[in-house]
Amino acid sequence: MSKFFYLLKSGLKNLIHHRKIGIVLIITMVIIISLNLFLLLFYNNMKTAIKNLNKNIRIEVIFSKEVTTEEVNEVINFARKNKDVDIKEIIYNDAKENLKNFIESSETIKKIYPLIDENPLPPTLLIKVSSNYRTLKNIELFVRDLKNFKTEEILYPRDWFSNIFKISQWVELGTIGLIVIFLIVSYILWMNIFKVALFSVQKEIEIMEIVGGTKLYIRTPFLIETFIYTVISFLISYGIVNYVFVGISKVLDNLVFLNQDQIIFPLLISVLITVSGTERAITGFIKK
Amino acid sequence: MIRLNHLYKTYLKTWPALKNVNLNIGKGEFVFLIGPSGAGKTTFLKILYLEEVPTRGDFYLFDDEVKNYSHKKRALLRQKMGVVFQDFKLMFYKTAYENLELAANVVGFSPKKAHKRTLEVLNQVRLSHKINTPIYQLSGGEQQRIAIARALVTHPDLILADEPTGNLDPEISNSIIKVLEKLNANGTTVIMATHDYKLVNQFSYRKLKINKGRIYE
Repeated sequence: MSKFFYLLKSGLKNLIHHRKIGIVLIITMVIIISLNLFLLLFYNNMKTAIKNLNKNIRIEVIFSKEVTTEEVNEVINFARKNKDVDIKEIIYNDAKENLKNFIESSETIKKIYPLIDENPLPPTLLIKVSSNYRTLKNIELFVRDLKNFKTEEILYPRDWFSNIFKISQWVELGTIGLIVIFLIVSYILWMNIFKVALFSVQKEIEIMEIVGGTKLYIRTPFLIETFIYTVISFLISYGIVNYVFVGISKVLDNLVFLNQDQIIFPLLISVLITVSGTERAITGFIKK
Repeated sequence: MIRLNHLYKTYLKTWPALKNVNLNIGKGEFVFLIGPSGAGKTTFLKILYLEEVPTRGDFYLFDDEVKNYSHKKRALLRQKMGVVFQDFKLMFYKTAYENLELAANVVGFSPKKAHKRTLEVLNQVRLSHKINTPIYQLSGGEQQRIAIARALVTHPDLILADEPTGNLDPEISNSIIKVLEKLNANGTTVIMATHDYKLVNQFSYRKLKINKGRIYE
């Protein structure tokens, strides 16, 4: 135990001795970690926005004016029994109700309404469904089946949703790809900067070997030093991202911040990357 | 304790630093290794403290053949040795105390024991007053004495000293030899490389002569 405390003390002292290169290491890591956290933030909000859109897919069924109540019920029953599409709500409006809604929609219409002899509007059915990229095809099939009933027209923004889903998929892939690239870059950067930093303490490593230090003994103070640099870098990065988020939240509503996992995992991955980078860098200085 | 059979060390495949060394050094011996500069003294010591690997031949240290030893096994063997280098190999921005504390910690001394032992050896080399002085503020002679103190701090079974009195005045040189003699009297094996024939001739210990990589009695 006394060995560990001694090495811990050495690691902390190294922070002071290597402060110049330490600042370079921290700045590098702050840039990389902040970029990753911003990417995660962007990814979160993009996903939330798409989720909200997906919850509100509206299929509007316009019946012919002559449609009977039985025929409307047939469509409603078909929709309710359908298991391939997640139906959230079905709202039926008869012709009268549609006209009432139409009149109330604007003051001008209210004024010109008495000029209309007869109700020109048909009964309609509004089906609200929820979907994701995988079930989008089911909605298309559902809409095709609806056309077999006595309907005049079915309004459904198929292409629009399809594009949104495609974009969301690309965003997801792109974000993950960028994060992976950043992680690899940060590993290589850290390892090389630390290697440069170790040139100045090469003699120190040699002396530790001479007095009988094992590889683990030699590495430990440097790994402690690295761990502290990473935690400092992460806290600064978190502060930056949080500050920017608060700023943007004042302009844009309903933004979502990083969840607990998105804070803990990047921290753990950062530590893993820097510690393994340091380990790799030191290995080059220890004689085989 | 140390046994070398037909040992060779060649650098760059063609430059022989040690040639056919056959040698036995027993536990508790005090041995002088004498020879001019470039004779192979440092290479010989480097092999003994496991920094260099022999090109050919058998090498037994503490009665174990150390060929193909892992880094960890070599480290553990080094913990039984105290080495004094010509160029001191001290951590310059650390204090005298910190340099000694490192060696004591590596071998697993408790902080209390490390502190006590560090004070003892600093006293032995007459540098107690420089305990908190960074190495770069010490003179060459003082640095050399700190290097010697570091070699003593762990109560090693074997002391290897490469020109330990090289930068010291005669009075301090004699006191260092006395410290080594005292350790030797307590059973520690001492191997001291030097080119100072005058100093060696004052003592009746075993003398090994080295020249052009060959060692003979």
